[in-house]
Amino acid sequence: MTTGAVALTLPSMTEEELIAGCRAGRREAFDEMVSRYYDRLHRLAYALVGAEAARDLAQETFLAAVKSLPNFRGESRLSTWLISILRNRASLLRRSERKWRTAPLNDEGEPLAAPQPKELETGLKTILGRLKDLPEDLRLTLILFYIEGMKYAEIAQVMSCPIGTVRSRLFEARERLKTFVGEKET
Amino acid sequence: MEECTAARRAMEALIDGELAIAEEADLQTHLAGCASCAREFAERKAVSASLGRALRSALGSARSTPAEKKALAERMVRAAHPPLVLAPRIAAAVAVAAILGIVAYATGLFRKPNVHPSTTSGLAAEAADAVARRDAARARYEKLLAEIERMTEEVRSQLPPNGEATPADRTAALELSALEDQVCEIAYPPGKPEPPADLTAQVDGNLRNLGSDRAQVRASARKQLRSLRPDALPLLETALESVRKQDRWFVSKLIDELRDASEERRDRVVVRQSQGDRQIEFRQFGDAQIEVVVTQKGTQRKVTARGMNELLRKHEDLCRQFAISGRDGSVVVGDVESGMELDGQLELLFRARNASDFSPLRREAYSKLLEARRADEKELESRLAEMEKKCRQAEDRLRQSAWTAPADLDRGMAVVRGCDEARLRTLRSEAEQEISEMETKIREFLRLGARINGLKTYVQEVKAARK
Repeated sequence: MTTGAVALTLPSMTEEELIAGCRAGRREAFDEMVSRYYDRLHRLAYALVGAEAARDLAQETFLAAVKSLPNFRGESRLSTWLISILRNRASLLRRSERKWRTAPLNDEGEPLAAPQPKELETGLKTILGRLKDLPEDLRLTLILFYIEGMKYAEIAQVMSCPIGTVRSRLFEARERLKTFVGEKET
Repeated sequence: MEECTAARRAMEALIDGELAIAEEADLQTHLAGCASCAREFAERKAVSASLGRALRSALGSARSTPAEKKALAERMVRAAHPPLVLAPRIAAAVAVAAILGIVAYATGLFRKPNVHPSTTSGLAAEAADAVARRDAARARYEKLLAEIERMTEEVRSQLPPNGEATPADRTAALELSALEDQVCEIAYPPGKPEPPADLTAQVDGNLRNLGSDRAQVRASARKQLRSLRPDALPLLETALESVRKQDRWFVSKLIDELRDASEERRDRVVVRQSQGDRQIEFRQFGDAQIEVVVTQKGTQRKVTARGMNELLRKHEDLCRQFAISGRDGSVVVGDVESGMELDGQLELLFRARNASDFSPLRREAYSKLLEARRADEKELESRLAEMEKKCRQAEDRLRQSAWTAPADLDRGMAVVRGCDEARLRTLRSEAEQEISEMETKIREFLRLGARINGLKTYVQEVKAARK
């Protein structure tokens, strides 16, 4: 009688099991977490801060999540929580790129004007070039809808806004970009 | 024409696969019979499809490799089990704490003599770091709060007295009160309620406090005045003339509200619609209360809410099912729209006492101001777009500003010096807890501050448009 190697397919972890595994510091749980969410966060990071910084931002997000796991109460889905960490890290990244001073208010108490951020795709007339001109909320809503395939309700949860706001942001973003896609298609 | 307006509103949801079944049937029926809408639908669908393709193509290069993911997972394991080597920032603190720990151990200050000094020195360093970060978070919080209060005062000073106020000014005044109330809820949690004073003294005191320089005092006065019962009505009516001009609109709205409270509740907005085998009736009353009654096959279901914000938040499924949207005083149910004039909407918004998205109201009020100044349609659109763009930029500027404060580790070390292990753990835990709370408040302040900065720009634009 011969025996062959049997390929074992491990059952996928539930979200609760995944979180518990990560909290316990288990390698397989971290592997699973990266496998499930890294590509998504990398794409979102790409849309928020551009190609150069996207990888670092996505990785920092995961590392920040490891440190904050004790504080995660499970009130939202893990993906929603990770995206909120990503957005916070993106803001920190943009602030550090501007080389903030510790006293941003001038003598009269007025906020100092911020230097312009680095170009996301310098010199390139691509959809990403137009995307960078949109406010972050519109940009993120577009990506969550078109790239991540999320429904309005999911996007509303991730962005902590009403569903009506998701609709109006999508509408506004399309209005602003429709000239570009019209040019591209002709 | 109304059908086309409703159809255009529903198109995006259909393209996105988010339209309720009954509504989809209605829209398809309309598109089959309206060439103009059918054309527009086809164009929007094409734009959406092109946009999706362009985005997927552009972001396709954002790929990772298995090696990259593996390396990341390894880093995460190391982060979850940090070695004894501490980050450079607190390494110096560890050395100091170790000396302190060893000295304390040698002099018998520890209650548990078998505690190893190096464990406690690491704990002392962590506690000192947490305390330093907590103090930095407190400083950021104070700085941001001071800036928000300064901006609020600046906006208030630019609003004209009620006698000269346009609907655009009244919109801004109402929004400013709502934002100020939210800031005060966060910054100044309510203390113990004071024993009730004599009603006359209470009303007089609160009317005087409306004009205070301090936001907290003003917010408290507004809250107290809004909780008055109808028997306070004669006192308010008598006092109205002596109230400051800037506060007269607020007090007169309170008076109207108290007057209406003593009468039978009147409808302000009513929409009735049939959707398939269901009938839906939406009502908003003069006190901003909303009732929605759905009847299906003889059974009735009723929900209530105080204002549209609460309805959309607490009864999201119902609103999605029946396509209910809009704001207080201007509502859409399915394809039917019903609403009041701007002043009526402001009145209901005042009575709903919910923070709301004021952008559509600002737009409508500003538009009316320009129409009164005989702006033609092209100029109106251009100036509206310009005003909204400036308000958004002002919001972004505040959100993106840095509100930093350095963490003073020396001070942190001074706080933890001499503490035993139990005390160090408590200090660290309490500091981390407070940092988390401060960060939540700071995020809220950034959101509200951005809106106040946008409102400041709006008020400036209104002032310029009045000239």
